[in-house]
Amino acid sequence: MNCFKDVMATTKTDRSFFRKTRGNAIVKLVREQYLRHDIPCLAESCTVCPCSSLGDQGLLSKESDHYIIPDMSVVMRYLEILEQEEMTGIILSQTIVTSLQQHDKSRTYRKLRHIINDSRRKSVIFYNEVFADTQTPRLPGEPAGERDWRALRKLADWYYHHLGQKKRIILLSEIHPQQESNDVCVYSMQAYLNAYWPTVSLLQNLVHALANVELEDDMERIRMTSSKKRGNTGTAVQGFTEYKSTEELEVGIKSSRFFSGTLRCRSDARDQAYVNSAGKDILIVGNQNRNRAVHGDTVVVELLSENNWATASNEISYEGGSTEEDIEGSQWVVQQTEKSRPTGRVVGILNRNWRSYVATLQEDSPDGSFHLAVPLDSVIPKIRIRHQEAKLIQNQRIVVRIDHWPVSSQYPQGHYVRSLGPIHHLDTEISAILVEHGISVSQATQGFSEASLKEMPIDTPEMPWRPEQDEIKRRKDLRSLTVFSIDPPNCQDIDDALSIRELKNGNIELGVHIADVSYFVKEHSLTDLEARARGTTVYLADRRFDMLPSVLSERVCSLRENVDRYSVSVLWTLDKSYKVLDVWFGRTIIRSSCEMEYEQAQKMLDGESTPAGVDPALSRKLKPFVEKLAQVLRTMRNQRLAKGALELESSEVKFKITKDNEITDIIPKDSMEIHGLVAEAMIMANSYVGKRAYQGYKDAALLRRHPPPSATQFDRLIKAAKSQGFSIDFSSNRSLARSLEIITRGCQNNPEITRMLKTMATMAMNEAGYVSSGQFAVSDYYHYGLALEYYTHFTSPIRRYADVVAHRQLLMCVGDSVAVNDANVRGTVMTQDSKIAEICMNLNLKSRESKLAQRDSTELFQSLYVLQHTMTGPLIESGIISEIRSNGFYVFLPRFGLKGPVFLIEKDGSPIVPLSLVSNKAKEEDYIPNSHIEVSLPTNVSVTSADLPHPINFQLFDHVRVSLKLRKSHAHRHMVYMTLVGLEHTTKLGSSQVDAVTTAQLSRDTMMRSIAEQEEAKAQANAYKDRSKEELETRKQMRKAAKNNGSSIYQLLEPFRKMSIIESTTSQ
Amino acid sequence: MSRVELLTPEGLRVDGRRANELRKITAKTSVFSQSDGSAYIEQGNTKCLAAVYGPREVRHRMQALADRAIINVEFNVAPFSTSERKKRSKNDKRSLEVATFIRQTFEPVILTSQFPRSQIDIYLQIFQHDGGLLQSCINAATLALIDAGIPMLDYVCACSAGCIDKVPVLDLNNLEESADTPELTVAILPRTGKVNLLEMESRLHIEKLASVTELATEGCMQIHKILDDVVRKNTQHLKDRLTS
Repeated sequence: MNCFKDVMATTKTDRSFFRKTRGNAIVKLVREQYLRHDIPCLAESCTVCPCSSLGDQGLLSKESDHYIIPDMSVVMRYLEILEQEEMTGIILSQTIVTSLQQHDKSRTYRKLRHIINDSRRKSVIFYNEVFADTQTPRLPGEPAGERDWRALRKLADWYYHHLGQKKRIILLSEIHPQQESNDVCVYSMQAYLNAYWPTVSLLQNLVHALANVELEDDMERIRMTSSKKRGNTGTAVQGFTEYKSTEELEVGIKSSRFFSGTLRCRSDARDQAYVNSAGKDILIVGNQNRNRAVHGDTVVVELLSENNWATASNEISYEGGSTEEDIEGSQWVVQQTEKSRPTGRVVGILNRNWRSYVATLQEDSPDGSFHLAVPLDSVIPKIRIRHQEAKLIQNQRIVVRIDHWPVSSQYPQGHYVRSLGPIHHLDTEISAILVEHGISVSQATQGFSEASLKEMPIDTPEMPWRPEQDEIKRRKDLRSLTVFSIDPPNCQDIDDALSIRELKNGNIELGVHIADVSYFVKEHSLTDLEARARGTTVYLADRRFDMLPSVLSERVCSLRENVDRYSVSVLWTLDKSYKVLDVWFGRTIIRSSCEMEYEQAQKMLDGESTPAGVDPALSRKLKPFVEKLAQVLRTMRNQRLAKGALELESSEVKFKITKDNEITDIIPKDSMEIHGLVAEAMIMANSYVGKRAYQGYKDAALLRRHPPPSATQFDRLIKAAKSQGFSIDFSSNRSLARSLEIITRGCQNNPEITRMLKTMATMAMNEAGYVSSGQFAVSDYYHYGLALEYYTHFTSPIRRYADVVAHRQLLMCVGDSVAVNDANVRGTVMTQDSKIAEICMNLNLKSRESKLAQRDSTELFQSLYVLQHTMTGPLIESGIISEIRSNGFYVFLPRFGLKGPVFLIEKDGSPIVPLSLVSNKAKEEDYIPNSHIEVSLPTNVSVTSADLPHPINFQLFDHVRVSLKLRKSHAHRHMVYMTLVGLEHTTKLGSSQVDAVTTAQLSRDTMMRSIAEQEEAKAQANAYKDRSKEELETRKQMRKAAKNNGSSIYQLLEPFRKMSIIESTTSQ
Repeated sequence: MSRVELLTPEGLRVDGRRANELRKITAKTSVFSQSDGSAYIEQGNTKCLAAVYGPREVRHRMQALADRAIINVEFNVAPFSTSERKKRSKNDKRSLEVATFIRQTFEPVILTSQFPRSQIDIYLQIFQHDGGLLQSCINAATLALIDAGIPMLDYVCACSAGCIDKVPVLDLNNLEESADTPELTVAILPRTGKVNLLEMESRLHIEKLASVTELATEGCMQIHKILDDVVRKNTQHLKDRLTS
């Protein structure tokens, strides 16, 4: 037995307890418990335990004079305070962890874990239950709560003595009476904050707010006791019902009587929500059936009987909300059909997913302490908060959290956290976007901690950073090679550069050089942890929030011209037919000879030898390189396209902003050939690195995968394409690419339609995401959009953390001495599947949120533009009908990259079709009287009226002229909507034939009137010629199209001639 | 719904062990005087009794082999072995399968050719079941066979290992087993390192197989030490009794 004890240093005990089974029998369970002696105390000041060897973990700080141990009551109530960054030195006991797990509070546990994992918080988890000196067996007849408290006391005592009686240990508890002493004291949260953080107002405010909060669990407990006494709690309102018990839900889910999934509310139809359960959507209609669930919660749903099933609403919301579908939500929009769908009601909640919400106090809210806050995100219900001085936060954007939602309340109860500033101020709205998308405070303030800045290399004008001699020797010296970078104008963070040269044997060497961020940002350093948490640089329309300190992102790492820079390079050797013979990865040192802009490079390709902005001598030198590069990359691109890669599009825009926040113009982001070519080089580098990293670390390589879309996701695209006479074959990415190519060729005279269809195809796609290769099967690594087996992100380490991981993995794979040494000395998690998977989860979340934040900021600026430009007069633009709904349609304005609703039916159900469509003279407010609207989804709306000679038809992809307007809102962002001004008749012959059939019964004089109408439209088009030249240029395409159809009266008459033939044949 | 974290990020398991630690093993031989050899083993809370009879005359003449002894294994789980009483019939397929595994494990190790036309019976009884049935049965059988003085090539030591969150873990208990953890049982001859039995019924990633097997083998070596200790102590005890 001796050897056994030596090896394990543990004693065996048994822990037994009783538990009720499913069948209501009571059984005794016996679990072994091994008591250890080797649990480290994780304090920096400790000399006994081997703590310092535990690399990446945060240890209890040496400087702090006290540590805190929260008990269960504090964790449940004041978790939000513990989450604040000021709180450090938290010792989380295993007692708490087990009891959280027993009570199914996995979310609370995850949040606590998050605190522990963040090494800046200097907090630890201590396994007191398995530690011989602190374990506390339950005494006979002792309640569990009391035993837990005894265990915590014992833990506190042990810590106090273990750390040489130098540090105070503070037990935080709401239940147990306060105790002052020099060693171990018991405080309530309030008392603790008063003693240690009396000046931090945020914490003080929070503690007051939280103290009054009624917790959902308390409610449950109260309910359980009071239900026996017959209903002391308030009566249920609005048909809310109590949730079923957890056991009942579990049984129900297993027997497929109930379904569980995440609740998604629709931003454009407030009373409808969806639960996606095992791949199929369950519709939930109305507040009553949603039963106090909030967007994002994991809920359990019971299906209603089939005659109660409803159809999905297809209306555009009148109150605004996001005009574009959420990325995640896009699926159900695609699936819209007329038939009724499974409908259910929420019977229980597995997990609340509440976060901080930005909200505004409701206007005209009465005085008093309770107020309703209207969240910015329209899918969140109004929240009832308690605040004494409501005047102060009126007309401000505030941050609010939900605490619970009792069955007796119409609205969830919450509390006020902080204010962001007055509404509709640019800075306030931007911070609102940041809060809504969970971008951390530290990133939002652009700050880095002192300590992390100390880790950075020095680069000042007086002392510019220079590479070290040792490092130059270690690296491959490519300073003599001609390297250049191609980026957008004024780019500060240049993370990629290119090179190409011919080798002596006629082969070609193609090089992609990426800034060597991982050399400066060592794993587990403070900067690394901060960057890992941030995940990505967030680009908003007018500003950006960096992932790395600017000394790295703009200076030392950025591959500027004419300075020596460290880089990680991928060098391919290609033969004469551009086949890859060999590839080399490794650390290099380069000297970029030119920071080119896209436009300059494109001009070189177009044959201009000295584009503006580049030194003539230099450009003469570079031109052959650029040309050769383009040649090679074109071949690569074509090869990849042949394999089935998709060319998709999205509509991105840039804003021109003056200093006083005036937006002078919106410019669509142009795409030249050179953009695609540079991207191709990056894709190539990424895919080769992905493959290499996978070979090196089969079960922990960070890869980027793009799962293929399912057939239902293509529904909308197929119908839209069909309306234009095209078919879509989506059986594989190659066939889809071919269908899109046919469309491109087919609509050469109407590039906007191609663009719309391609955007729709993009919407149909699944989201690409980072994965750790150990979590998925090899066949699942496939990148559908790019048609590549292995793909990762490697080329932008300055702005994406995934690339930093890819760099580390690659360098360790190729045995780079510095990387391997770092990994040995500092320890590395880059080879651990579970850690990489964890990082991937965070990165996916962050990149999605940053994308959404970017979208929101674009919308914000678009609405600002409309606001600023409608003050002087109407803003009239031409656009395309992109989506038809039952009460109107969405119009896409290519010039602004903006999609907005046009309503044809008013809120009360009366049609509002402007009279100006028919006659030019009518005022804007006049509507066609007695009109009737028929919608045949998803491609056609027609307006008929007794007064109208023939119906007005709106087809998908019709060109219309609209006036942009802004619906002002107090609690939300202003919403852009549009009203119809006129039609642009660019319809193809094919569709006008369809028109002709429906209007075959026209008399002669109505025909004349329509001709006159079309003439008017033409006259309108001509009127625009007088406008400024600049504007004309942007409409060149439109006009061209218009010309094709309307240049002579004979062409105009053509459809009518055909129609008359039909008329005569039908009359026979 | 599994709520309990089987392996915490700090590397501790539900019962306080680390990933590469065995449960506590206590063993005893010669617990019965009726049988020729017997042993009782506790591995954590899994408790197993083995009794060996033989070599003796074959009960059914038909089965007798002219050149070697036949081995007969009977395996039984007590109805009170788990928290909820569960009665298994005698011809339960699981029990028969385990019995077959054990018979096949020992057939090449016992020098059966020394006892032609005879039979060796191994009776195994589980009293308490807390994971790792097969391994404790094999270990108990080894001890009982040694106690009975039946000539064998070597000890047969068995140990199980699994894989939780991609981390190989040694000697799963019932809680870990019931959470669908892939589990693999290895029985080896410790002196030569030859593998006698390798049993796995769940899916395990091929990349992990090597490391899990290796861990299980290491566990076998540790168990060998413990079993060897027990046998030597017992022999010493007998020797002391002889001399005194």
